[in-house]
Amino acid sequence: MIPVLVGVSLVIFILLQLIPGDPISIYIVPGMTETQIEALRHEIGLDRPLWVQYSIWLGNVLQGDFGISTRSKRPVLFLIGQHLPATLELTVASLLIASVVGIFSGVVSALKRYTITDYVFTSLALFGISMPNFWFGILLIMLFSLYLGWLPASGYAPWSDGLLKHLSHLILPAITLGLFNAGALMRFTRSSMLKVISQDYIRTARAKGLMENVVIYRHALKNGLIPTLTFLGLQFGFLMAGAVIIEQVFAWPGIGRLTLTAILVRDYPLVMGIVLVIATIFVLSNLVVDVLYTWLDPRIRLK
Amino acid sequence: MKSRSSFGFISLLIVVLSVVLFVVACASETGEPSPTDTSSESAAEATVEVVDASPKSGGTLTVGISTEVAILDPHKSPTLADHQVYQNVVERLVAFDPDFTQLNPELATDWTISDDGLSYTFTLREGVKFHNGKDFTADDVIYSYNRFMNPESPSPYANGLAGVNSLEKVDDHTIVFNLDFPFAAFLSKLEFMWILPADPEGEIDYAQTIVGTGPFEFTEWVTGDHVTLAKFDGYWEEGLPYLDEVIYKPIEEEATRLVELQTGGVNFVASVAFKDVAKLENDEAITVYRTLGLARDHFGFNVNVEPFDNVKVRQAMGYLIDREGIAAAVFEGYAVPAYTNIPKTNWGFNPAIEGAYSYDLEKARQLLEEAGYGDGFKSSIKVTPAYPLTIKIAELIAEAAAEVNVEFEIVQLDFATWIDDVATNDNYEAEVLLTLGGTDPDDFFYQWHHSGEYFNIWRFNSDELDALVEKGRETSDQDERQKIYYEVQELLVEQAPVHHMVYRESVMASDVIVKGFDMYAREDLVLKYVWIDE
Repeated sequence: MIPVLVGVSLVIFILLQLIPGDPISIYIVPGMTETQIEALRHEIGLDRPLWVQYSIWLGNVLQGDFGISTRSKRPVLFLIGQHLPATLELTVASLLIASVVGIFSGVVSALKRYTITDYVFTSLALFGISMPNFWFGILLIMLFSLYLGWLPASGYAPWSDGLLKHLSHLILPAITLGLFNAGALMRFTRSSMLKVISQDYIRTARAKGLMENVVIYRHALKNGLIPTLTFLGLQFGFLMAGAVIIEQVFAWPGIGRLTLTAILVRDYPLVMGIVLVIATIFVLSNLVVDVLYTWLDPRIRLK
Repeated sequence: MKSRSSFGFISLLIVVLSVVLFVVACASETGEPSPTDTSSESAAEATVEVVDASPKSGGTLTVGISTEVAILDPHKSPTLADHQVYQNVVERLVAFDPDFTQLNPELATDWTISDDGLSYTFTLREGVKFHNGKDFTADDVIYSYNRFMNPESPSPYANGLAGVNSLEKVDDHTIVFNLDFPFAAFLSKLEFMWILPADPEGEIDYAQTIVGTGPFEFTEWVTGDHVTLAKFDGYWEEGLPYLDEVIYKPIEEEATRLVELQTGGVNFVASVAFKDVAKLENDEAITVYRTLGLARDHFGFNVNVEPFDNVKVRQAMGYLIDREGIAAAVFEGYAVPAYTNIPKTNWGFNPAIEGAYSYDLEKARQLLEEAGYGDGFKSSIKVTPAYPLTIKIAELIAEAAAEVNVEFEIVQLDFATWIDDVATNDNYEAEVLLTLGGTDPDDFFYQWHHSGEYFNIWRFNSDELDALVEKGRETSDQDERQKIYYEVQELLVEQAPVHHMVYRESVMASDVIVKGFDMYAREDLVLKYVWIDE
């Protein structure tokens, strides 16, 4: 895992150097002289040779020091720490909604293939996958906040403000973010369940006289869920990188916004720190998925 | 077959549902707003209600700002959003009024200038305390000056005080600034030197907090979510501030910010998109604040590059700009034609140059012929999506240019890259952007046009202009300076390294219960006098 992460950080470092755009740009104010600008460049450490900059950074990281954000002068780990929990909540909430809605409708669709229920669910799934979530998010805000006045339009309420208040801020962005995945999961689950149901061992289970519920949930679903699990694992890592658009629309203080701003202002230490942390989360979540496979399918064993 | 007709029916249902949702979304938009009166008098007036009720103490102002706070340190931040926060926590010796025409006492109650213009003696306000309990004295001014100018880590505005040679403390409440040369704009540059408490041990970490003399003290900053300020009970101005608390919330998405205002999630927004102004003005629960702002959109050229090295070509470009059309199409009428960088409200503004250029394709064609470009030419305009309206302006210019066989390719770059290309490396031909800020006439001309200046992005090089702006800095008599700057404007109109096109309005809005807010042309957010009528 470590070599992968070091490799990732090196690639990002090189990419950052290759993209045009001077990190100094956002600090420049009309009236500054060239000498002042050079002084700034020196203060940020941009006048040192590239390999020196990278080695210093890597050395510090290995000791747990992710450096200081050039823009806000606050420690990178501190900033990430302030934003990551909000993203984690949004990710978990949206995947939960997506899973419950998606898997349930996928299973029902598979069992009631080609009935009206199936067509309704399939169309809704397509709707979820195709709808631009930016627009859907704004629609939800207009409906539930402006017209109905039931929910706040944006922002984050800490747990200390009360469970209901906290959830009222979480629900709209979670539904918006979960929309795509609900649709995708429904389709995955449906097609994988269809394959499983036609298998011999299912016929055997039915022949044995087992109740339909047991057949479906104990035998069929466990295997039908394997591709779904892969998908969920990947999506978790992906969503933890921050749903930039949703965070923007709902003013959600997540890591997506932090990353976007950091890139736009070329805040190198912050970008590098975020990339490293997200890459780690991504690798770890894939590892967890691998472990879960062994539980779901006895044929798969870790070496 | 049953399944096929079911499928058809279901699909139809989904389509109908989508259409309904779409209509619901669009129904929230009102019709085309009519361009409201934008004469400078009405626009420059701050929309302050005459209230019979006297201000009440208490209440929380929740402000929706359009970008996140980046840096709290007043000596380090170049950004407006940060300024809108810390300007209520720290103060300076002198401050401008909302129109930026008059400098008023803040932490200095009075000042005198020596006859030779080389010494400024300030009488400091007594009875002022910092948020940490310390008394304000001349020592704090000296500390702040040194920190502001610190050569290892200077403020972005430090260059404004470069002519200061030394500070002399006469007593606890009198201090003298000695200059190397008489610098007429000195007082206006002092506006950025925020006064912080003397802290020789460096115990206060301005990356995490701010300590000042302002009406509000810093409470907390949760990155990406909010900044909270609380009323400072020991503030020097009796009875102020009225508000108990101010919470700043960054909400980047315009639509969301508006909904928050309309549903009470915030009771003030510091930035309103022009397309939403009419809708808000029609809303009885909302007060809209408008003023002619300090943002000027411009169309500029790299004068070292063909064909813009030819003055006739640059002048020809001036006749491609339909200022009224741009104000209406791009700014929904919330903009006023401009012909120079300096705002109309400034004493240095030369009224004679109004209308120097007009939208006249024939004239443009004629000038291009005289310059030898009768067959037109190909070029590019560099713009950045950081300022999306400038892209629309560029598109309108390109359309007009096509009529005279001038083909402009519009190149979009992210802001950092734009600065690289245009400001640092001279790697461009034409650009559209805006200039912001400025208070003294010197601010609008010296750094933008004097040869060798970093911000002279057009690389304009004129000995005559250099001499004029240098003289303008050193002369102290305002009438004489005015004559100089009038000449500067005439020269620039004739030489046209850049065409200024419009002055944008600045618009903010609040719930009607918010009172006492004065709209500043530079979008300063002064909350000292704000109160909530509840």
